[in-house]
Amino acid sequence: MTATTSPAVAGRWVALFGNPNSGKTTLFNRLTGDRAHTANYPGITVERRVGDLRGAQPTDDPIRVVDLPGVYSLTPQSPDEAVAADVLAGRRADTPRPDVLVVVLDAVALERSLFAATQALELGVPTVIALNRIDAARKQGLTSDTASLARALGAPVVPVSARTGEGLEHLRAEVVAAIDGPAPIPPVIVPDDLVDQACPLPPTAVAKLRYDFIERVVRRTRPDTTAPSPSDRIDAVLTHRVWGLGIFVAVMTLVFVAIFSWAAPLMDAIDAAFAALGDGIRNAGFLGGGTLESLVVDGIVAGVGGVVIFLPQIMILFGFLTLLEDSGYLARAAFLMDRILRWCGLSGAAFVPLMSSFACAIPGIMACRSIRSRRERLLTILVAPLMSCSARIPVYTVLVACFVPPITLLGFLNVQGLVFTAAYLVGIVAAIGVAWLFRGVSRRRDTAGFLLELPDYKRPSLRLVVRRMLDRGWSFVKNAGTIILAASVIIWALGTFPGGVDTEPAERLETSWLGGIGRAIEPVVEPIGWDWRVGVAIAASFPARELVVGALGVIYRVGEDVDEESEPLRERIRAATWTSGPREGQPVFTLATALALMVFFALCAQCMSTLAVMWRETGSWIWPVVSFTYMTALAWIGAWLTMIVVSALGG
Amino acid sequence: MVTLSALGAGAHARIAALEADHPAANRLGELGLVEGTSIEVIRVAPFGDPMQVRLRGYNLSLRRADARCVRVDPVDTPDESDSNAR
Repeated sequence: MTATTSPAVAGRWVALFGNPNSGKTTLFNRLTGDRAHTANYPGITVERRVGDLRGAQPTDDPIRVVDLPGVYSLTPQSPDEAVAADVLAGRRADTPRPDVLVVVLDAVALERSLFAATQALELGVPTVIALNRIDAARKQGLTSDTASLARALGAPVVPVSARTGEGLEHLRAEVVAAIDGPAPIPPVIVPDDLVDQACPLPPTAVAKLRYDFIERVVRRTRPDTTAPSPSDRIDAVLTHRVWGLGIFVAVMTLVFVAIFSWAAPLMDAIDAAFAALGDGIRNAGFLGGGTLESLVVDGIVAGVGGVVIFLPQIMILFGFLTLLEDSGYLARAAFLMDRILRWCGLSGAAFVPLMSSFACAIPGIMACRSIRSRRERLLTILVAPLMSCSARIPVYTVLVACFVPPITLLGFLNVQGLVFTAAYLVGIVAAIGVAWLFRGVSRRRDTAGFLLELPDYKRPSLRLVVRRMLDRGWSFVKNAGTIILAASVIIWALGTFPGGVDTEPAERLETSWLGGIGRAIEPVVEPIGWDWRVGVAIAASFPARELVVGALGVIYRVGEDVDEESEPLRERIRAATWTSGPREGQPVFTLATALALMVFFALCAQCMSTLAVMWRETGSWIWPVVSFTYMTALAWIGAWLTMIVVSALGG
Repeated sequence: MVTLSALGAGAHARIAALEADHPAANRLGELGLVEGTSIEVIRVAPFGDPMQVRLRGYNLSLRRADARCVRVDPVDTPDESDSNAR
């Protein structure tokens, strides 16, 4: 929590404070317009949104608005909640203690949102209370006497609707007026005769006193009604044990198909565009055809292409995710799936990120931001890359086509298809095991993930959806993109030198530093039955798994532009033999060693983009290192076991 | 003593006490599950856990393991409970 004070903290600060789902962020967007700046708080994965108050009277200092993470109380139970408490206490260097606090109340869940609000009133900061969702409350007959609410709380109360824009001018005026104004006189919650410094009341007893006060205030300011909310009727269908699960499967299938298939043409187009750009540079010849040209084409252009290629999946997933979250359905999905994910230490909130990881771990890991509990977020990030992503498909395809006979068992079981499915299952089973082993990532029990508010359904804001898509896409390019590009250039250099670009491709790779790494790891891969060439191909596929296909093509001298459908490559792989040592003349690839390679690529961490995103999303290089280490170890053990078992079965 | 975890869908109850040493107790108190609060079990998730309850005008999903620290007095009909469970 140490950051240096910078000019960025100058000006007057207004902080928005309230429960999650209170409409705080929509209100923030209304107050700041579209010029807000989204980033993470330094060192932690908590989003920090700051913008300038729009439409305020021009003053000497800009009025900055910060949207604090949603909290249920000022006793933090997660890093998000700790940020809110720390900012309000003036303990964060990046965000000063606010000059004005805007406490956002949810007029529909008024009693619960007053809990944290009454705590905030005790902080001695000038406060304005925004009674949000007033339109929804009115529809349910939940009207409030704002004047008497303001008297009871000791601060001005402005009824607003962030959704429709109602009351915003009034709120803005009250906020500006409150700057340099007096702090509220907080209501007395704990009677003096119960205050005992030596023996403080237990938190549950203080909570009881606070809710006693809240009930007195609310009963006085609003008529007693029991109108059921429309959400209850929708829930009767969407969380029904038959219809609810059916709709859930349909929604998740739609999301998955979208990131898996809809993104494909866009990704192909991006791939083709960057390939054409590289060819164009080569053909134009103005870089001279030497090392510089290779650096630009094979290092930089390919590296930028390797970043941009992820944007379709990231943006499509975040479009859907924002729709689901903003409408209220994401909480129901977590409610439905919680029981299934619980026994490996996760909760229902991990379902969407893990499912998305079957398309690509990068949007999947980014989607973990919606998991409130930090412990669970880390655990999900750690196991997400074990889901078989679309980059594994070319690897599986080439190995299955080479070594698994296209026969059908019992008339309907296609053996090639079975092996393909088994590769996916290997990842899922490993993820369950790893999650179970890592479930103690943090020892402190953290209930934030398991107590889940089911907010009222509402029509999602398309504006928010588009904004979130652009935000997430840009955040990926800016943060992970730079690491991926730098790593691409380094890997290019490792794979090119010391031979240089004039060397014949196979020789260049074999004699390169990367080839040296591959040869160096031969003793490690030898027990599995692979020779040094497989070692080199594995080393060359560190940037991304699918590169192993091209690397095998180079090593077996089929040419650089092979893909998984290439028949010459398949023949060369089948024909490859040991060139030295005790097994000289024997084939490198048998069914056992080929299946072992499939298992290796199902479980390994050969994807530097995933590791880069993990670094950015966890704010620490420790987690990518942990992931790479455990996944590589797991991949080796899995491959070795596969080789042993298949050999024993006569493979 | 009956705990919230033992109630089925449709049951109404009034909270008698929170077991203060349970790790979820403080947060449940902050969320409004305090002594005297009326609470209704709306439904149980299709796989048997968690449960959806309604109190103070909002819906909360909690696991049975956490619901176990909420001691309740079952109420036969909603009319007998006070008007908390709006």
